[in-house]
Amino acid sequence: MAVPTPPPAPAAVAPEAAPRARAMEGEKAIARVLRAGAVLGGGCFAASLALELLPQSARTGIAIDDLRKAGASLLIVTPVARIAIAGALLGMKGELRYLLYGAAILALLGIALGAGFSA
Amino acid sequence: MTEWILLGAGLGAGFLGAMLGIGGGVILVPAMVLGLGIPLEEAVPASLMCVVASSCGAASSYVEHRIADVRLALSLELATVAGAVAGGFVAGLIAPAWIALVFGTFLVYTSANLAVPRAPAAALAGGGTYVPTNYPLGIGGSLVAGVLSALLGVGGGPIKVPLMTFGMGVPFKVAAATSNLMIGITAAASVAGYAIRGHLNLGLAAPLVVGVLCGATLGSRFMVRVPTSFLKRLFAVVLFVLAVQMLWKGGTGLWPIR
Repeated sequence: MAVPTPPPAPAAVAPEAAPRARAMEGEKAIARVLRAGAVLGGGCFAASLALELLPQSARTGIAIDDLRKAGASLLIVTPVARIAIAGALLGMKGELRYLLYGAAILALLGIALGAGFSA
Repeated sequence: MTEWILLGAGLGAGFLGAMLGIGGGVILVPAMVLGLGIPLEEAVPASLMCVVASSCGAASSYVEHRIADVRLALSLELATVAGAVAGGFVAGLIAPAWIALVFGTFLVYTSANLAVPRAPAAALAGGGTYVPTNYPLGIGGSLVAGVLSALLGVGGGPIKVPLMTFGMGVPFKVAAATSNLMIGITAAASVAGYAIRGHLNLGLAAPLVVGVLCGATLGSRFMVRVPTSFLKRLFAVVLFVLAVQMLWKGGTGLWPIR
């Protein structure tokens, strides 16, 4: 008696290969700066939320406010640091135009803030 | 209860924003204003704070794995910031309602283009790289994106991701990741302006930021696994929602509802 053969297994779908950007040295340093800003800034905000669960007092209120201001400041400064570091790293490798781009971005942002605009 | 809702909204916005290269404001601002009755003048700066958080959280992973293009980001950011500064100067001269109508119409067109299935581009070898082309178009488009962000308060992602994908030959996931990297600095500058003027409600921002950071971390891990075609269709839906918001904003600006 013929043994029925099982149907062929469906071909495994290969996962889509993720394209990659051009390599640059210092990517890990930039990633660490971004991650540190996110973790520290987010940590300050999370700590402020945890403090809200405690019995409220003047000291707790001040601590909550200070933590939130610290968290906001860390998050705002992080992208600025990223641009400065990326421009400097590429500039040190001879790609001076990116150093100039970074400096120009930061200068324009300074002008925008000074003039009271939102970028 | 409100804080849990804000946390959840932040989680969703961060997850979606990280995958698509947008800030999440298209979700957060309507959720806060329409869902929780939060005044727009408080919702916008809180949303911008979340954009910064989302960018920092997701872009760290994208840069580390070389999915975000740091060089391209620096080039386009310069044009965007220049456009935003120029937009700030002319903001009082142009009626935002007309700009919103034109932009909304453009977004409908872009959304339709993304939604239509296309033959896949020549696949890059696993770990292969690409070379961005047509820099003048990219820089010009980024300049316009900056002006629009100053005039309409929209983020750059909905313009820059299609610009990089269709106009500069950048793979969609790289475009989304690079956009994610770029939006952080423009949002940081905007939120700094609000904070200096005392318009940033940190109590509102706190649960949103925590939710966004968690969502962005998850989203950045999912994005590399999700098929590009799905991401494009999802992006088309988000663009359409934004288009409706812009057309509504333009329409009510020109013909106010009494």
